[in-house]
Amino acid sequence: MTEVEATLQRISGHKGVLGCIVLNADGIVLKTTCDSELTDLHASLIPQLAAMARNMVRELDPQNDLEFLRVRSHKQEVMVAPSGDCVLIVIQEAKTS
Amino acid sequence: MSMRPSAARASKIGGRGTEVGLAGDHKVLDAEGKDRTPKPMLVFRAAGPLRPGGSVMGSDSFQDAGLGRMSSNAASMMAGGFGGHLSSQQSMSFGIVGGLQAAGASATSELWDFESESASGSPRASESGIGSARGPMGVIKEGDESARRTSRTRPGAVALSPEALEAPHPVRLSESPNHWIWTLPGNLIPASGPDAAAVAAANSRYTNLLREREGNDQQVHGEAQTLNPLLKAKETQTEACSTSTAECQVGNVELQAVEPENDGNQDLVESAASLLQQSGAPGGKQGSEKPDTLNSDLTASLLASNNFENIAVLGNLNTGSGHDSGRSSFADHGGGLERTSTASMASIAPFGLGRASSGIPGGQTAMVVSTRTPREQGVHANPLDLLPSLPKLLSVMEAALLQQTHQPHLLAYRDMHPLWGPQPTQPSRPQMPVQPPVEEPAAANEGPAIVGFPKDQSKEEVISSTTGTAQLHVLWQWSSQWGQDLATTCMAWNKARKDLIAAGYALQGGFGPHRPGHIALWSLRNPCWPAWHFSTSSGVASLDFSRQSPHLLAVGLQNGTVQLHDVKSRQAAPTESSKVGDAKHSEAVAQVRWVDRGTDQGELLVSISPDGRVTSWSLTEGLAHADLMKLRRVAHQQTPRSRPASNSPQGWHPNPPGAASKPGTGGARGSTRPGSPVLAAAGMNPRGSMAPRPGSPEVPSSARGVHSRDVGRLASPPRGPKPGGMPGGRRVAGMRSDGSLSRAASGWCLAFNPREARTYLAGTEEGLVHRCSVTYSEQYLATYPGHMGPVTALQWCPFRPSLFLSASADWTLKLWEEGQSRPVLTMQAVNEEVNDAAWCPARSTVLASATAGGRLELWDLAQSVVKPAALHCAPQGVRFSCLLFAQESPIIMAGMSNGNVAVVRVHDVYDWDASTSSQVSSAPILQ
Repeated sequence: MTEVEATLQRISGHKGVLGCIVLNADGIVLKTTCDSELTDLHASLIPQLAAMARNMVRELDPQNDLEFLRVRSHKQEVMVAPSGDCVLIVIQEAKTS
Repeated sequence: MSMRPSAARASKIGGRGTEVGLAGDHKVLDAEGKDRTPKPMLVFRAAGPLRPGGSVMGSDSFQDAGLGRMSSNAASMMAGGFGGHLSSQQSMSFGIVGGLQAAGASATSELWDFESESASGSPRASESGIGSARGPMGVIKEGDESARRTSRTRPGAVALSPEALEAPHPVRLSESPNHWIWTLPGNLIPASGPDAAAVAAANSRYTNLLREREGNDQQVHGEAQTLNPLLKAKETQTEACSTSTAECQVGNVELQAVEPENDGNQDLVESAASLLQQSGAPGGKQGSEKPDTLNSDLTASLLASNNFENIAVLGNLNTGSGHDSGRSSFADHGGGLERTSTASMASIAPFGLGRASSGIPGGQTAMVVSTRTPREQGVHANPLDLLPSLPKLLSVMEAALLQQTHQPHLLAYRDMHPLWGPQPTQPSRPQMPVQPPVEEPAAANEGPAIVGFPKDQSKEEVISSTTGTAQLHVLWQWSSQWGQDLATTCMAWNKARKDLIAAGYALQGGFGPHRPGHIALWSLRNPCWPAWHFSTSSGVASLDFSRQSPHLLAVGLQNGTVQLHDVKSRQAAPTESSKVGDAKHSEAVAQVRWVDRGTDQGELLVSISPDGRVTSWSLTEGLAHADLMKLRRVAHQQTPRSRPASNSPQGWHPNPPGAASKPGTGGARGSTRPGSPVLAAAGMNPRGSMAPRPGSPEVPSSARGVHSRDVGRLASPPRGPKPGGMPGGRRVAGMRSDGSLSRAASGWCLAFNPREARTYLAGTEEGLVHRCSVTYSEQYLATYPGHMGPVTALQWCPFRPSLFLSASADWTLKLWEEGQSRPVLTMQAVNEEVNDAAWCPARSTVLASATAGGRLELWDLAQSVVKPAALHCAPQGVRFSCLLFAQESPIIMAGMSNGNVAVVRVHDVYDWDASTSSQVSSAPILQ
């Protein structure tokens, strides 16, 4: 098992994590640890938000770039780590330890 | 006018009653034989000269003749006009209505020349017609030559005599009856006419009518309606154009980020690209659907020109309608189409739509495209490997995840207090009320006293002393998940990355050298999982990171091997390893240290081992070793028997070189040496149970006749009856003979002077601390006796150049001054071996010690030298084996025998600001 997969497994096994999704640059789901319905929903909505957030960051300062994005709701927290070639999404319960 | 007979061709000018017929002798007879020959309208009357002597023609006959002559040529005459038909000699003026000219061309011969007669008879021409010329006309004789010529046309014409010809012949011209051809009656009548009154009355009536028409009741407005043409409805039916909408938002940054191929279509490119990206974003879990053929045709048409290369994408986007939010088919098409684009979330380079621009219908394009996706994925076994930035993202995500759960700990680590929540209270109660702002207030209601502890570490106990202000709290523990029974044996900070710590693990109980050990690299950012870990061939005894090459980790194994690992390469295999042979230590490598000798000389790797060798390793050609020193047992003499309080200074002197070979076992250190447990003979390791019972400072000399302790020595380690394992040692201690046993001392710890890289301290198993120099390989510079047990830790004080600390298994910590051979200070809290001790880098009077009994003690020498300022107890049965202070945080790392590494926060012992210590750095915020 590669280190990447080991890390993914670890992350998805972390306490409170509902799922972990890896999208490539086109929005195609490469790997997911939650059910497909949830995956599709997130995979269709998250990249747009991330793109908008990135836009905002770069408009404020063109040298800057978006590194991490978190959306915390009452029930969940969605953490998005976008990059040039992929998007990593982790959904975690919002209940704090 | 004179009429001259002219050769008439076919006209006859007859006399009275003679009718002139048609040109020629045409006659029209009707059915009854009556002569219906149309008479010419122009009748010529033969004049006298024509028929001298002939009968006078009647006017009507002349008229007829003229008409008859002319009727034959009517068309040509009228067409040609007068002039054309008239001969030059003759001109005739007739009062013929219609302008018929006499005879025309044909009639020229018959035309009478009336000139001679008109001169005389002209006044009468107007009145009389041509026929009046008959009067004076002579009679045309019959049979006359000329008459015969004319008699062809004019039968009955008589030739005139010359006298008759000369006589004036009156010609009477009369007006022919008018033939009205066309009349345009005028609408004006003379006012004096008979109808004028009536007309005027009518006119006035009409104008009145016009005037009255407007308001007149008698006026009836009539409307007319035209019939609308009947409409016919014609219905047709076509296939509906399936459409779907795709939206996206493009920011200015995205627009600027893409380099377009066609400058003119930049906006189009962007919008198309963004649209594609946006609709490509939806997950492609659903199967690919074929686009509508209608739209595929649309796409095909769009693909025609290169300029629309990117709009073709748009066209493809619109295909696959009928799916909710249109996302299902987009992904495949979008994904495939974007396969060649540069990877960027927001910036999409123009696609290589070469295949698309060839005019393939969009449906085919999409199909071609979508089949590429599984094929490409099939090539690589794991698509995750294709993403180069995924590991970094994973680490970021992991950090974020952990921050979620461990934020209070991380905050505490960095010595940051949250803005919200209660501030840390006075340390009268052991409490760490850390309430991070993001957590819900409900968290504040959990666990009153020990908020902030990991919930799953219920086994942890915190017993904080309430003396003073110090507190020790465990933030978290790094637990080893690999193999059981692996105990943490050593730890080392990374010199470059301040949050990276390496921890070495080994099996306990003596099996360490033979079983694989483990090394884990922990990062403070991750309280749960190590950044990296790998296993070693043998248990790990010591670790150290290089300063000049921060990725080099020197590992000393319990089987005596010294290894070098490159942490960056993430390989489990060591970069270098000391080979078997004389290079390898025959005992466990007690400590490895990198010695920084400056940039010119590089770094030196030094290891010390209980086999007595202090070896330096160089990285040239593998791992070459050079023994710096072979530790020899030093026989120190104490003044026998008499035990002045200050006997120690006398007794301790550096051995002459020759004395290094002083024979004897551990006991040969002098008979007067207090019976230090000879651990070499007993083969003890620092973790062995050596728990002399603490007794009174007074030496129970009754049990030991051989030795007596200096009572006056402060806190010297009392010897009590040792439970076991010691009698032999004591007995050996009693021997004074210079035996020929092994003279090598066992080196247990090493400490290089940070200010002078050439002198170092070596602590031996016998309890002696030797100060040695790199240059002298045979001789100690100084020896510091005092410990009764193996010296487990040595460290120079970071603030005071000549002070160093030693910890020993004889339960004590000792402070030494370099010039004095007697410890300046001895500290002992409990009767437990001190496995490790360290100076606090921030406060000059603070140090910590870790005991084998599971106590982590924090000493503040300014407060008390008798008891520690703070204390932390491990759970039952767990021992602390190693200890490290964090350089930039109020944190102590403590390695425990259950494989955990505890991260302990130190509270309120010292303030991490520059005002209290000379060498403290302001609390930096770790990344």
